[in-house]
Amino acid sequence: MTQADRNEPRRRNASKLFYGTEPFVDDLPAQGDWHGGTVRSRIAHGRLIRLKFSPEFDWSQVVVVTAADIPGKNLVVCHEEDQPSLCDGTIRHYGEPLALIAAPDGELLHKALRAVEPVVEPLPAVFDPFESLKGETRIFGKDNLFLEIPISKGHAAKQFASCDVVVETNHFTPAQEHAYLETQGMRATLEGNGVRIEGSMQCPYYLVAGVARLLGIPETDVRVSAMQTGGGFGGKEDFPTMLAGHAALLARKCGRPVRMIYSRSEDMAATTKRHPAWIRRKTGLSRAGQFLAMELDVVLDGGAYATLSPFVLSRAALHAVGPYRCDHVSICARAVATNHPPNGGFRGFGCPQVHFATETHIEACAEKLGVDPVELRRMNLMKPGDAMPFGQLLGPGTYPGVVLDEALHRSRFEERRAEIEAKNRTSERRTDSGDFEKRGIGLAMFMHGTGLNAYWEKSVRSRVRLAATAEGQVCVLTAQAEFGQGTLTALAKIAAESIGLADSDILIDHPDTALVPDSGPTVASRTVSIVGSLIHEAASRLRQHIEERAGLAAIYDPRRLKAAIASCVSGGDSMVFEAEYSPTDDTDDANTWAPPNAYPAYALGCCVAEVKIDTLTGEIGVVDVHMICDAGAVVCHRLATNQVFGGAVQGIGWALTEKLAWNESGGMRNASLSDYAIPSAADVPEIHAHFLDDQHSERYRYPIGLGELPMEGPGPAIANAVAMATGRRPRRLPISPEWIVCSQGPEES
Amino acid sequence: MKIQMNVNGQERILDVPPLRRLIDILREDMGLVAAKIGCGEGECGACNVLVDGEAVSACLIPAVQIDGCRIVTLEGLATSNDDALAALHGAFLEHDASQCGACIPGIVMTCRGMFDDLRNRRPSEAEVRGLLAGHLCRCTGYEAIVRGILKWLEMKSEP
Repeated sequence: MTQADRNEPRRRNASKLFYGTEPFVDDLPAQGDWHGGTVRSRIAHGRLIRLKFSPEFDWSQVVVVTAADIPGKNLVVCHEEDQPSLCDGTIRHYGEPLALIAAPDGELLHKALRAVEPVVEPLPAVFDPFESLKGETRIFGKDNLFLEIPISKGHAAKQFASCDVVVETNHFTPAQEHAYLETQGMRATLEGNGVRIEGSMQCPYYLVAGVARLLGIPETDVRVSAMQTGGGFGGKEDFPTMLAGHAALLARKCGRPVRMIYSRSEDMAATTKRHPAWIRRKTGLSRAGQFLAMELDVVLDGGAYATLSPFVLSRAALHAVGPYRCDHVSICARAVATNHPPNGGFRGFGCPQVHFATETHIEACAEKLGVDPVELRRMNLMKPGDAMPFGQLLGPGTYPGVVLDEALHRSRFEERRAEIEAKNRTSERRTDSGDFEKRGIGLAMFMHGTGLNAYWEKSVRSRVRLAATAEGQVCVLTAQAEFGQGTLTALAKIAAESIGLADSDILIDHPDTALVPDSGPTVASRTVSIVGSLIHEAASRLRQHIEERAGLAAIYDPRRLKAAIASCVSGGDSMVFEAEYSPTDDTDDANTWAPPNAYPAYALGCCVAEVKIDTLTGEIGVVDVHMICDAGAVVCHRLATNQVFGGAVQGIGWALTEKLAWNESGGMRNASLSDYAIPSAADVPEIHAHFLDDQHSERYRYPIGLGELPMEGPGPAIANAVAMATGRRPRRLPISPEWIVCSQGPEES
Repeated sequence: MKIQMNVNGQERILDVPPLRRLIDILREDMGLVAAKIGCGEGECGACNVLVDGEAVSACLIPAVQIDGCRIVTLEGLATSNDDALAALHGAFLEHDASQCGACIPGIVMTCRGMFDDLRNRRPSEAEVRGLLAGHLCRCTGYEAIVRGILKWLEMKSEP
């Protein structure tokens, strides 16, 4: 029996998705909705003097909203209060929203948008974070620094002197577009004293807070219903707060429902990207290969507003050394403001960047020492009880070395490597036989702490609710959105198993804040881990209650249990059970960004990738990928395996084809799916996914987050494979055919 | 302009601007929303429908080109007791081929459009990947979709 063949519930809405009948926001019937659009800046930095409305256009047919129409605070609610919902006089990035227009139909809307001309006074713009740090162009605060996180353990600077070998490398990882297939979309309707929002999102309660603040109304007057959401990947974490606010402002002004659906080009140009990262890594080693000292600089381009940059930076800093042991570490991590559109959350959330640096740097260390990079990793991998640079000890059962061994075994890594080495020796460039192919195999370790970091997870105070019905079924009420990860299926399964009911007797739907408590955002691989554990807790209480009520020691038959629940509810028992997140350990409340016990558990992974390279054209093909994941208990194997496939392919795209080009104003130049190349089915090989879930170990009793993990391995694994094939180490992604064929290419960034 | 077309078996006469996109006619004018808009430039295949039996991206087809055509959308297929569609449904469910679902209706139409070509030969995995190259999916990594299609064709080639 393969892992995916286990008897598991099918994806709950699979049939509706297949037939296209599970509605996305733009599938809702027209209902007299007006169409909303956004007037955007075309410069990166400057002052908005005024908006010039063409007299040729009949403005009585449409409504226009500017910052002056905002009844509450002109703000996109997030951590820093720096981002206006509509331009407040200063333009800080290309595509910044200046005004909003709603019209009865899409065609008229586009005519109106074209009839507005922003009159601006440009200011010098800065797109390079290192330039920005010089402070000549002011974007954020006094120094354009959103946040600096220093982490220090031991005495790294001193320790380097006593190292046998010191290796220093620079790395760059690029911006990445989420390219969820459904663009951002939102619908706002006036309801009672307030507003109802329906749309594409990951975090319904973020929208409640954001819209209430913007409109100056109580949060209880904002109702948010998440629709089926066509992919998120972090791109629908913070941005929908802005879009919901815009739709609400327009609905309020025109007194009708307003629908705002971004076109693909607007979505790509205006919404967040993965943070570009510049990482310098310096490691001192003993002759035998032990990591003795490490120094790391991480710089993220945050774009013009802070949005989620502090959170991404925190995760990058906490994962910066990877799953390796080192007693003397100095990390300086900074998120810097530039005049790019804001960068935000994207699957992996800072981890892909630092793991790329770590896993390609280690290969350079191995080369310098003349040792096998696999052995160098094995020698330095952490074991349970080893301390991370910020003080957390790796938890029981967490064995990166076991994950590495499993990956070597399943991919036949050493055998393949030897075969490829032999083959590469015989196929020289431009041989008579016309053989221009070189192959390479590479691997990378990666890890991902589950949930928000301890400080923030605690501050969310997530709550879930279970409510039984008179039919003996149980409703699972959480704020977790469904955007393809299988939230509804996985959370229902956790409830069914914890209560002891059949899966079909669990009711769960897309979250509506009128009905569900705030169980926190659908981010950070926290859905099955954190929210799932709360459901388990509430479910256990429900079960205990019913057993006591029914006067039974234990009910094992799901049908008897269902009947007992039904009779309890019919007898007037409300049967509502809640659970609230309360961390067991007392985390230092002052340590927002690097709390000592940052994450309750770490998921681990190892990726092995094999590439073939045409040395004549520079074409790079990925021919084989193995993904070994250790994410604790796997709730639904079939869904989890498919998550791994999807994450791996996103990682392949990031590594090879997804090159973001900027225009002179710092906006995305290739803002279309024709010009920004995400992988197609023909571009990727069959992927092999395997989970470690040894049922005998405590670690595998509960799920650890999985959603983000698989994105983090392919980038560095492919880079290491390319290095083997070409003899040159890629220090930046994406790795282009031009770099392959151009011997003078930028090996060092 | 006035155009005449057959949509899901019904003759329709519409008065539409000549450059109005077929996808807007279907989604906005007729409320047939199974086809999704992913990119609006024929790159992602999410809006694929059958025009005279062939799967095409409805975002690229102006009204003027569909005068006299026979259009079948997923809504039409779903209500026509189509055995091949039912079998594909089973195979996709078994492999959990849909994640967010935005790309799937378009892929279903492409598969259905190719069915007559495919039924007599067994395409390899690589060929199936090639046939899917006109579609973009950001969730699945294509693996479950490819396996689902291979399974579907296996089922159909049995007597």
